[in-house]
Amino acid sequence: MESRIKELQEKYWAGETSVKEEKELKAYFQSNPSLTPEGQYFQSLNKMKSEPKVSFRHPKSTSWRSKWSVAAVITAGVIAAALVIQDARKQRDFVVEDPQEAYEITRKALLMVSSGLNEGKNYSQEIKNINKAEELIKEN
Amino acid sequence: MKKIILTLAIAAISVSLYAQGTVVNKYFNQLADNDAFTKVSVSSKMFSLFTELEAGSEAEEEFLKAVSKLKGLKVIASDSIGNAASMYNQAVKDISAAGYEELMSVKDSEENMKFSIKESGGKIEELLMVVGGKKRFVLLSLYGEIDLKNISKIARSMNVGGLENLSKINEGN
Repeated sequence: MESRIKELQEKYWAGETSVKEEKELKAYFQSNPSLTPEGQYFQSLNKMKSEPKVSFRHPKSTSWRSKWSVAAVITAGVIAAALVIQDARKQRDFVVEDPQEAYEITRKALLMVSSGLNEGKNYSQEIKNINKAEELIKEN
Repeated sequence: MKKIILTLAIAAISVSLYAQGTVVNKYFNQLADNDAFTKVSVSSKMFSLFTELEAGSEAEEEFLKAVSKLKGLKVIASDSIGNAASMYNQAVKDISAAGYEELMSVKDSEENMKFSIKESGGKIEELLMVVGGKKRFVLLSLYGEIDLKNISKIARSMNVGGLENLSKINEGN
């Protein structure tokens, strides 16, 4: 075994080992820890494999996910803006531009609201009167 | 990432807020192409023009006083639609769903009428009036600073004005 490992080590440094043979070497030093520089070297090779990969990103590049969210936000914004603009345009179609006409409309509208409110008040006044009359009847 | 989520949330909220809108705007959009309805909108700029007018009578004075605090008026009305009653019911539903408070409703043999308000800080900022008759439907919105006492005075002072004129006629005879 020892001779085989020595042979493999020589082959390794000569750059002639196959992947399989390199694996054999690493496995050997994993199971038989040795303090020789070579032994530590092969052990550390094994360790490197199991360590999590460190990836580097260019600071300016963003991930795909955030790019999609930005796109979604922009789309939502555009749709909202389009709706608001369309709405404003529709509302503007009915704006009265002539002051005379606007005055008449406002006067009529307020008069309608006003008399409506008074009508309601008159009703409630009538109800109050009825209640009063009922109370009087009860008292007598 | 957090920022993006926040932006998305704000965008979603603003879109939903827009979708709610005011009831009147919704009806304006819905009936925009329907010629059976008269749609009128008066802007605050117009109201500020009116305030430069001089009041001739008491009623006019009350009217101008009421108008000076308004920011807008929108009316949708029709006198000749078949489904006025169902439109009235739908509008009443929409109004209460949009968070308006009912102020009063009047019902007689011919028409239903309902007033609803939206308050902010103890002040009325929008007054909605819906009328539904056999063929008549009216949805009216007043917004700005609304003083109900002041508005209800308009009709009363007009009536008084009318009576005064009547008595003058009698004097003339």
